[in-house]
Amino acid sequence: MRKRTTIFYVIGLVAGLPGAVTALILAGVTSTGVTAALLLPLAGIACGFWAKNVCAGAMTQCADETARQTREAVKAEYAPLDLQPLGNLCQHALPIWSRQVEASRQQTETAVMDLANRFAGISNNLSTAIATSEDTAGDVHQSSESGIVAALKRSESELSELVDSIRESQRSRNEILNEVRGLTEYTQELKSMATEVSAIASQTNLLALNAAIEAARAGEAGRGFAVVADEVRKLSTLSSDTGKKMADKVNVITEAIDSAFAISERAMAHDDEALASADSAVQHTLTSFHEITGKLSASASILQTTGGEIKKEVDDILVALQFQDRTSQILAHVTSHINNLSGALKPVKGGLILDIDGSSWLAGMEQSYTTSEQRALHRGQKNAAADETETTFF
Amino acid sequence: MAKTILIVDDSASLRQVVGIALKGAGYDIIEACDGKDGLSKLDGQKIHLIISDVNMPNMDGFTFVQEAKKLPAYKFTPIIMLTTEAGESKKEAGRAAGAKAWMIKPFQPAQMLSAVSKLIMP
Repeated sequence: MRKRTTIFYVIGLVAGLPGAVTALILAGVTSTGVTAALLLPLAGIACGFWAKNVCAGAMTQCADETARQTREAVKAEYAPLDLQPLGNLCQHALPIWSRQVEASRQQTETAVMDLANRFAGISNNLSTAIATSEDTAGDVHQSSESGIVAALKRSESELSELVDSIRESQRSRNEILNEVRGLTEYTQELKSMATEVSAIASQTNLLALNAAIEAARAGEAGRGFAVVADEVRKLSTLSSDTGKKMADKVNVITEAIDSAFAISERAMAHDDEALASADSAVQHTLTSFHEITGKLSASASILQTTGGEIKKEVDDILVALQFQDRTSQILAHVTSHINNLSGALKPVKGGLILDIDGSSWLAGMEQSYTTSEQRALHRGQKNAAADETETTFF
Repeated sequence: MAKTILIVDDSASLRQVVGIALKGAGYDIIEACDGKDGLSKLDGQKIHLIISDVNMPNMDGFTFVQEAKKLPAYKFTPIIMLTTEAGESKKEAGRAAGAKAWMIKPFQPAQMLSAVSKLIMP
């Protein structure tokens, strides 16, 4: 400042010098002239002095004004007193938000746990039902010992055995019938033999008659021969009787055989009918069995397929239920950060201050994250990349 | 005799879902809500496998695994870490602590059952 103020004196002196010279010229080197010559530069210096003061005053005023404006500007930007309304609001609002976020997190957790419990119950009941029905029906494709299908298969084989044994007895009876039919051949032979015997007997009778006639013709000499002829005639009558008796007996036997044959044939016909109806009943039953096992097999397949689909649905639901854990973590972190912010609002003399360092605060938030969504959203990215899902074995 | 699995996680709903998946396959379940609670459950009873979260209050997963491995009865019990974290550094920390596997949430039940049957003690 000193160098600058000097110039005012210099200018004053310079302004007064011409005056001094003029005074000397005009008044000469007289007392008046000399006095004037001395006084004028002095007056100039005095003016310089006065000018300097005015300038300095103006400059000081200017500096003060600038400083004041700067302070005002700084105040406007960082004025702690202006945080007061916002700070007051936050002091009340932040705990409220924190409580509400925590409440919704807890409500969701409770609701999802209840849902999971009910779901587990339903899933267990379904598994039991499917298992029970599989046990009851039995597996059509495997040779299991228990179940309806196995029982039906056993019944089927037993019925087939029954039909077979009936057929077997029918076959035996057929054989008997054939044997009986065989007998009639013998009776025919017997009949023809009896006829022969009758024929021989009547021929013999004729011969005997002829012999008697010849004997009578021979007179006394033929008397002995007549006796023989007579005896032969008696014999032939006897054999004729025997023959007739044989023929009668054969007839009786033939009738008996025929009658037995007829009875057998009737019985056979009856048996055939019974067998046919038994067979058709068995076939009918077997067809019904096959229908039943077919339906059981179809429904068992459907059950198996449905069971498999249900298992897949169950697995997907279990994955979906886990997202509650993720959102719970994110919300818990938000609550914690709100509480930290709330705690950093500290009252001081004259108002409130926010006792945090902005960049380290944000870094602290990022440190606390446990999920990839949180990190992505922190950086302003909308969609987080899909997390890897493979298990890593060490 | 059904095998017993200890599940350590601070989320009750997640313990429940793991329980449903494992009980459905015939395992018995014991639950713990953090590392400290988990250690208290390792009281001598036979445990065939441990599944543990990483981020938990009171005692985190890595510390729990280290402490569990110090107990003579549970030194060889296999441990699977089940967590939302997928970072390589976290996985390395898990391996260093003594875990046998690292599984990411949410898990597929079929995947978990496969890993369990692979690692579980006989």
